[in-house]
Amino acid sequence: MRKDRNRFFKDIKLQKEPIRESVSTEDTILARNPILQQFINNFSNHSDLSVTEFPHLTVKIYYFSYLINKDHYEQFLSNIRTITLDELPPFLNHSEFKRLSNFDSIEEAILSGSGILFTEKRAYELPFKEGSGRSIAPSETETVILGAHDSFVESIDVNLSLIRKRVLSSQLKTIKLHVGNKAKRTVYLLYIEGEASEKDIEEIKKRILSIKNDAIVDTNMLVQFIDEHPNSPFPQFYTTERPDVIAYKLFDGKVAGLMDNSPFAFCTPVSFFDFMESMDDFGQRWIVSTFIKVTRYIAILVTLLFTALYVAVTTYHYEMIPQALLPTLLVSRSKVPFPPVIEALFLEFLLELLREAGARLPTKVGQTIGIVGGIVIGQAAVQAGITSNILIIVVAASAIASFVVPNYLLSTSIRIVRFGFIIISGFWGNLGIIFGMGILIIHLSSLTNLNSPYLLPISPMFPKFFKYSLIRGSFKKKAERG
Amino acid sequence: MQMKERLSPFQASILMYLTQSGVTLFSLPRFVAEAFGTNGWIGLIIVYFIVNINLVLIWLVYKVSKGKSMLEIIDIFPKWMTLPFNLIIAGVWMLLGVMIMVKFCMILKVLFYNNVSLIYLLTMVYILTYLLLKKDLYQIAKSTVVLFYFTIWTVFLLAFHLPEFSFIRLTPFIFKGDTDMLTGGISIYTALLGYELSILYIHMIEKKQLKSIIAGNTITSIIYLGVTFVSFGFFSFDQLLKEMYPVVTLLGYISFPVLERVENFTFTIFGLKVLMTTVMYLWGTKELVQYQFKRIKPNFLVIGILIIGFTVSFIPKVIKDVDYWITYISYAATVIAFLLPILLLLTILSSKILKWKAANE
Repeated sequence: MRKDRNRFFKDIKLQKEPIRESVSTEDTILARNPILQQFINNFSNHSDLSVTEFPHLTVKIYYFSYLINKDHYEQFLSNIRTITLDELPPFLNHSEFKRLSNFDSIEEAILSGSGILFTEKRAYELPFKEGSGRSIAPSETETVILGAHDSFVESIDVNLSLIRKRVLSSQLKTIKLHVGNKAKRTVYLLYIEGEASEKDIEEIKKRILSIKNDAIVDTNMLVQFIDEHPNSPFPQFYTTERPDVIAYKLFDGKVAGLMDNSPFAFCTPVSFFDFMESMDDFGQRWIVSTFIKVTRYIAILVTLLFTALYVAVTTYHYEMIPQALLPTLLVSRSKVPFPPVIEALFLEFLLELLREAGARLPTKVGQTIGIVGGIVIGQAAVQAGITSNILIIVVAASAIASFVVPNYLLSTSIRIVRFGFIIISGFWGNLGIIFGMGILIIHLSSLTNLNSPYLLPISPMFPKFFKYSLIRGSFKKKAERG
Repeated sequence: MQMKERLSPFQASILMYLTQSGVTLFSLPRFVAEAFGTNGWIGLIIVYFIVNINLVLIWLVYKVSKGKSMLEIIDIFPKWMTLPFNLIIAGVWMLLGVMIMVKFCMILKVLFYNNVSLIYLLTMVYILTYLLLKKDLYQIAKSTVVLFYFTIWTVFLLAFHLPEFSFIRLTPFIFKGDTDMLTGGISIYTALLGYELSILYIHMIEKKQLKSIIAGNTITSIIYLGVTFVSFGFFSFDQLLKEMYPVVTLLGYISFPVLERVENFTFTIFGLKVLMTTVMYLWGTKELVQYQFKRIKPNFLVIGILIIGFTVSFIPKVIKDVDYWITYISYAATVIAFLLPILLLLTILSSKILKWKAANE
């Protein structure tokens, strides 16, 4: 009776969905295939793995239904249904089916969205890959006014295509690498042969291959595993969402890297001055761009030192304030019950909170934060006598200046370093600021990215590169120079 | 860490300039006025050429030895023979480096930070020195170039004094007044000291060795000359003789619309230049001691030198004591600056003639 019932259900199942069942090692003639056995062992507890059987052809097809492109899959099914056992070998010899000879390649193929077809002896990759994902949209972290508006997405293939479209040369070479022990993430290294240094390529390859961590989910994380100075607050690898930046850097002889499922690409070797560049600089006239670039350097100094200088002057060096300005400052400071360093740290910290809250919240709520922050910091804090008017101007100026820095990573680092300067100036005044500058200079000049000095071309000095990194020289002259 | 990279000529020049440019700058116009009298700034040019002769001697050592470093040249002597010489030179250099910094800190304390203990000031200096000294020369040179950019703008502050500059104050007389050419001349010469350390790194410069070291000295001399010249036209001659630190007074004259009396800021920035002088002298000390005692780990050696330096810093109590120390040590350093290349040249020549082989393996 029981046997009959089982049989009955089996028939029902076959009728209802005749070619689909979950993975199990039971009853199949294909179990003779050792690769399939290994495959089934490794994927034993995957209830989301689907399988399609064609008993008359003695083949099984495994795939993840949500990773594949359904149309491709249906197309393939309609093709394979029509063929006979004799026609199978020539059918599979078709070039679109790639033969896979070991488990690693099968694992990679099925996890990246292909189907795997097992015959009695062999395994083939079926190209069912889903091409769609987030559509290409303008970058939110690196906006430009002049220049291309597309940016990388989470699909590494789309990202590669965005770069290929810009570097139309067979000299653009790619190296495919895998990161991690278990969850193998794909990383592509790109470089232009003849432009990039072989030594750099080998070095970066070596470093990426040495990563044993499996939990790397983004390019910005990956580069922290391969940089030389992990304890520095400064970013060392340049990461960007913009394919035009990567194309430009590739022509500049740099090595770029893409990681699957990350909309960021990294490039190396870079210096501090690469972080100060925006693609807008290339669209503007060179005189305008140079002016803007110089403004950015001033902005960095303002971010770093303005609040610290306020603290130093109002704590220790009142003599530095001109007589005309002194009454205003004194009136403004007189109601504040805290020393300047506490006052400044309080306001700066509040500003950082606002910034962080604004970055995490949805846009609509973010506006509320802006209004609350504006009123609280702008008006109420002064009226309540917690801070002085002048300090608000100082903090606001340094906050605005910090947003002038085009690279988000660098901008954040500089804002953090600024806290150091404020604290040290609260202790030692101007002396502290100079001491802090000394430490900062020594630190920055000792940094390297892929063994290339961080402050290139200032230190070590290469004046001929000044034109294209410190400022933006004329293109015409560059063309003449070749 | 092995020395792999070589210094570019520009780096070497900047290194040279920042080693030379030290604490004597602040009193240099007075020294010049005391030594050479009216229009004494012309005397600086003479001193500049004497230093250049010394630099040529250093370059000759490099050239005749075919690119060997000083330590490779003296390697033909057994270690016990070089030990006293090296220790004396290292001692002189260390004391000079330390005392220059002590003097700067004392001036800083007297003028701007009366309530700050000297220990704080010196601790800051020694922290920065340690950060630089624990690296090799190439790294030091890299930091030096950035520090150069960070401090060089102070030279342009001289523009603030030009409206007050008057040629009448220069007087039509040359080298008149109570002059003391010899002693005064030597004290001015010591203001340019620091160049002698190039004997330790000239072989690391990748090309144009002579040009780059002379360029370094030229930068220093032009800046010294500019400051002295402006001082001679800014102060009257008698005032110049009475000013303890004319350059500090010059700095005090500067004011900006939003900030005035910035001298405590600019003067402190000068501290970074003085820091480089100290660092380079201590680096020289470290190289020589390391040569004698190869087994000591470089980091321990640096810490050892800094501890000794820190302790010595507290022996002189007032600026006058420090001046006294600096005078004698810089005489010794001057003698070393001249004699060292000459002795090395003699060593190279005699080793070539007698075909000596290295005593140490």
